[in-house]
Amino acid sequence: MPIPKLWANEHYQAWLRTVTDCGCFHDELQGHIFYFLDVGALNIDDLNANLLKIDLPLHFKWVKVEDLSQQQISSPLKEFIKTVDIAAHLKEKQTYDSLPLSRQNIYVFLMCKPDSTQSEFDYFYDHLPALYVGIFKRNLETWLIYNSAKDEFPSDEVMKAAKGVIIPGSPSSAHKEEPWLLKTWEWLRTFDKEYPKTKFLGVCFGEQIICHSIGGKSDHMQERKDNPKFFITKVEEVDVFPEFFDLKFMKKNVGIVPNKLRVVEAHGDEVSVLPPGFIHYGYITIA
Amino acid sequence: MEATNRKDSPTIDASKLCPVTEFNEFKHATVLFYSQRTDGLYILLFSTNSDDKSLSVPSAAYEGYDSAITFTATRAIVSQTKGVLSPNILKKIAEGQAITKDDLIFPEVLALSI
Repeated sequence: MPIPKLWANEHYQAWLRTVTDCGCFHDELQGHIFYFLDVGALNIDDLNANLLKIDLPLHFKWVKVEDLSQQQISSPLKEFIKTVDIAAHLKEKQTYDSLPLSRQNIYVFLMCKPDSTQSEFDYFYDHLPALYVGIFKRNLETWLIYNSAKDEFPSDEVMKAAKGVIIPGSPSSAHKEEPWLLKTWEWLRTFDKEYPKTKFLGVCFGEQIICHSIGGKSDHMQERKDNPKFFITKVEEVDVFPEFFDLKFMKKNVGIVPNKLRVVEAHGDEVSVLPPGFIHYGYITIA
Repeated sequence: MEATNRKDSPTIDASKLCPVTEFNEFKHATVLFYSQRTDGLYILLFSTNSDDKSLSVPSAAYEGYDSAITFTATRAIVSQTKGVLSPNILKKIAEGQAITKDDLIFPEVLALSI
């Protein structure tokens, strides 16, 4: 099945959201993650009887955690129960959840995705939380997901506790004067003014809307001005200035100083003017 | 700002650019459906039929097209439990209604399990 077709499937979307929102997982065994999903008091006798009637070759069984080792269970779980106390792990997560927001590791993920969908590829933007959560979220972190295009913004309480704000890509243009974008600009101006120490990461559209909101300018690339359908998708080398590698977090992570990084780009807009105080650390030939 | 291209910098060693501790690099995802009850913690296992003693949980290896491990876990759930634990199915079961194959998942998602 073509992947975009799968992205558009509502059942797939629902399960992807469930996994993305899953607050409890174990990520300490090398290369393996175990998600815990609470399905409550499911009556499996009725479920199994129904599955038998429709000839679906599946049979479910509840097993008490302490009895798992006596069962003939498949490999990943078999090894997992030898090294991890599942009940203790869930308890640790419950204890974390009971902490006030100020003591949790809060990250705000601000999507900017309008409901309107031009093509199946636009569903990709709906799945950005799943992408970022999968790549970056660790156990005992709280990622709160909002969508400014649906008028969803974090509260002051959340912003006071937030360790970072992530704004990903979007099918929209950051500089368009649409009502939800105007509101997002305003929220970013307030955020910049009231929470100057909170770190933020803008990727693609995210970078463009941050810059456009607080004194810079985002615009269509010249190629898109000439051709409204222009959209660049390629892997390109970014020329990086050495000053970038003097930054504290880069010194911690990078052993050598390259002058180029290879990045995947997919866009038709660019930041044409940086906001005051922003520093330019690299460029590509086209934007 | 004027950009300069510094050709004299060393070659990039990708392994040193970003240590794996800075991002998740899972090769495998497993999903444990559970229920916390007054008499203890239960895990939901499945087999292909009631006589089969070999029990499993949704589990899959990461593939390049997954993009992130969340997609791997979702693929494991959809392909291995065929969506029978979806809220709409569980609601029907709880209300004593019979389920049909059409309730489970759309045919194209069912195709994933083949």
